[in-house]
Amino acid sequence: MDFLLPLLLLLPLAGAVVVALLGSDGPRKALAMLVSLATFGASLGLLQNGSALTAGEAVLAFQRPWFPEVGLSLHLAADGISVWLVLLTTFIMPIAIGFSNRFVSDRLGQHLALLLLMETAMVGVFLAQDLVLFYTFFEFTLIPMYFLIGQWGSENRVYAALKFVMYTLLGSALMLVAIVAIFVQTGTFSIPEIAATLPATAGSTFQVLGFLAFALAFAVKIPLFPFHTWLPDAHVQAPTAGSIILAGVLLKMGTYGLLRLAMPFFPEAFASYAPLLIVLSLIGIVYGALVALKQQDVKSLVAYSSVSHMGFIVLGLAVANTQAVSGAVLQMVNHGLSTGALFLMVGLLYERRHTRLFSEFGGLWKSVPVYCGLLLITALSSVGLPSLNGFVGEFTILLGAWQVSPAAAAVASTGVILAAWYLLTAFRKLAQGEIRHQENEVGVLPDLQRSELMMIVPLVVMFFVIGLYPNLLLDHIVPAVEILLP
Amino acid sequence: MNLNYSAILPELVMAAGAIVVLMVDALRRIENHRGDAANRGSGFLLTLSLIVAAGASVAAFAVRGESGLMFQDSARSDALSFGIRLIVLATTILVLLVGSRYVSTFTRYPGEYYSLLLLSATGMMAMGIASDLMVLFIALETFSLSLILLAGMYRHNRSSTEASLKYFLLGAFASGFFVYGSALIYGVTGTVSFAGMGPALQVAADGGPGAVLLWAGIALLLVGFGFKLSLVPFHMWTPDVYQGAPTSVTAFMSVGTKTAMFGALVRIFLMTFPYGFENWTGPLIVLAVLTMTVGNVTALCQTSIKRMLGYSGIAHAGYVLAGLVPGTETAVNSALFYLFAYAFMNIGAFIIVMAIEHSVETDVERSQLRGTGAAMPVLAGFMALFLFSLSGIPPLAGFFGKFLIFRSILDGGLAWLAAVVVVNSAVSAYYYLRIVVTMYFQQRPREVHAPQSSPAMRVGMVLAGVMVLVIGVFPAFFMSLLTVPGL
Repeated sequence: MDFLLPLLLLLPLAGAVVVALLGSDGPRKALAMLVSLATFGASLGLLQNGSALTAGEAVLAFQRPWFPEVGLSLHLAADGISVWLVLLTTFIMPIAIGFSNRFVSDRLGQHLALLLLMETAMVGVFLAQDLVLFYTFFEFTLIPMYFLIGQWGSENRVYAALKFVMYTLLGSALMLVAIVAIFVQTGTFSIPEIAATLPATAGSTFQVLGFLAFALAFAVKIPLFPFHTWLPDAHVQAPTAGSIILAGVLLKMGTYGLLRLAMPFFPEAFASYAPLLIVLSLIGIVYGALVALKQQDVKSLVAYSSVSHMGFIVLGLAVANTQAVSGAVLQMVNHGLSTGALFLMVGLLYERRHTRLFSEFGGLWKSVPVYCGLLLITALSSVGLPSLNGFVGEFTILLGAWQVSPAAAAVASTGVILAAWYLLTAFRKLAQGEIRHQENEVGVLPDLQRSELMMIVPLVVMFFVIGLYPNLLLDHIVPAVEILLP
Repeated sequence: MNLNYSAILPELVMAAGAIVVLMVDALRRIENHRGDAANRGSGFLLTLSLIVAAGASVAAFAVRGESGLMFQDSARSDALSFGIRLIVLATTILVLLVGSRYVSTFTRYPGEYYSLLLLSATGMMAMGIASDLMVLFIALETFSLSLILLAGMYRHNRSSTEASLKYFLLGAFASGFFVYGSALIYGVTGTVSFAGMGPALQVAADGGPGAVLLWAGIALLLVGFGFKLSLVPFHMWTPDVYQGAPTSVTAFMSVGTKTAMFGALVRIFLMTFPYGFENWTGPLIVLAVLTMTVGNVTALCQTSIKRMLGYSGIAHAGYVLAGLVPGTETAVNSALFYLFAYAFMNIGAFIIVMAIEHSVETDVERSQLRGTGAAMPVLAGFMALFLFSLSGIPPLAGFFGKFLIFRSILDGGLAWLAAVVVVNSAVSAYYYLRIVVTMYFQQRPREVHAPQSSPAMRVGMVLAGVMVLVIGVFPAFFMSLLTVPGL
């Protein structure tokens, strides 16, 4: 029995409680940062058992009865997929907290406590091996995010917060019925056991209905076209730390659920609905990109680019060969880092100028060169420039997709071109040309300070690390995917 | 003849306690002739009532092992009656605590209030042990009449009086159905005792003589239950009564009545008339689906918090009824667990309403809660907790209640009914979360009244909040407490 996994859940939870109870902002900031860094440090321990991970095994299992009369247990474990998603979460968290520490002053204690609660819930989603435990964490992420958007968001935050919660709640409502129906069918809530027994025992109607219930919940979360309409609202209205977490980690819960639950539980239904998923993901890729092209607001652009990029991940999963799925998992991490970084950069700009409209900027190269350099690298990482992280993920997905459907791969690759178009256009509008507003003049607009560099530089370093040495992740991801795929 | 008084000790303690409280109050009033003197003694009366309820709880645990029929088969002590006692007593203790200061705002004679509350709880607990139609009716009237008086306790307030009158008239109507149904059943079976009905019911259920009368009797009984449980379409009285009655009474009524009536429903429909129960699942499903859907949809449109909680209470009755439809042991256990969880989260929500109300006369509108998140963080935090639990977000008490109900429904093979429940529950999240929106995301108006609370009220609030969390994190313990073995 290993206690590392429960520690990863309890550390931020305990931190959240203490931070909420502390009296003044100084200690709150320090403690929240300390807790999130400690959680990241502890999560590095996930990699200790490298040989087991490269063999595709689940490691560090922890199991305790929770509600034995009903068959629930507190069952946690990590395989090559969960390990990297947990690391993504714990890596992004100090950055989000760093941003809030620096820029949020209103009810900071509550804000930081909610961020830490969020961390517990997200890590729990990636580690849960019991379906109800998974559902618990999956749903619980709503509460902190709801408050984060509703209390610290922009003008239209109340609408966005309620829309976000209601969409997700309605989407996942039927999943709970499916979860209980699976229990009635198999007599267990254990995810590995269900994956082993359910496909053979379930009838075809059960497979289809069960798959649809799960797929709906995850399609809303991802968000897959046409369930994406909550995302731009939520993203644009959310405070920056909320956006970073929402794009960085929260959306991955959808694709992770698709991969971990929907695909292994209902392989036949998945196979018959895969063409639909492919079509929807392609629509999402192209539609998201085209809409992004037209945005006047930097943050909406990044939000729609998320719709497009998440389409790639769904495409990789729907193609369902080892290569494409591994690429999709890698891309989950990549998208988390790149889009998280984009939202961070937008947030830094917003805190300086209190506007996000393209028309308010231009010529920033001259006044804030360090910012613009890092912004360019971030944009290029999101575009998928070779040697940066985005390339490896998208390329692997496209290669895998080509084997199944060259047409799908061809359509998807237009998404890469469009991404280059809208992101580089955005960069041009922000950074190049002449300075047109007084507020953007040299000496008036401050460049990045050390504390801000400490948020963005780790992300940029990771772009290069993954871009140049993707096997660091793929060595763990591929074997886990091979075991997961039927 | 089996006169096992110890097995009904909790009810005896409560009944005796109610009388003692009333007498003490009367004697004190004779001692000091001054009008305001009664209020001064309310702390003592509260303590006395709490001791009575606590004593009854101890007694309930002490006699938990005594099971079987007694008093000429008119009462039965078993795991079901224990579950009912537990929930009713927990409700009583909570309501006593939180009403302690509130009660003085609407009556000068708190002794009557405490005494009636204990008496009403006695009736509710007796519903759980009643094992013949006569005892059942007496228990029903005991708690209903006490509730009618409690609802009208704020005598100078029109809506309180209206609530009382409405509850009285419709309650009398419901009792009429109930008695008529009982009479028909008695006519067919020749006995009022549940235990003695078995053979005659079997004959009638097999299509023997009297089958029509028997089914008519049971249907009338079900209508009576429908009124008391506020199942749609017998629910019309509920929102008005919930809104008009003093809030502590509403809190007590919303949980206690449901618990007592569902206990009796299980006793009659699942334990006494199991023959041909499948004939009743159809109507029960229709009632359940109507109840939760109408309750939720109407709750969406409310601006008064008490009214909204009234309609949402109707929806919750629908969930519990849906959970009972399969008629299995699992179903009964799930329903009891749900009611137990509901007791804490629902009373919890009413506690906050009481604290916000600055006098009984004004209703609490949702807009009054604006900005409470920043101004009264503790109060708003607890309210959010209760509302999240009511909407069934894990890992709070309400989630496991709903989870168990899904399981019982799906065990019974009714996947579509489970889907109806779950979609309803997701819809209900909208109106619960809207209150959270008001509390946290909207600015505070300039003129606001500070919340009124007493130490006892805060104890009650924290108690309810802790229970909502603890039931969610350690559901297994409470499940084992409320398990009803073998139907």
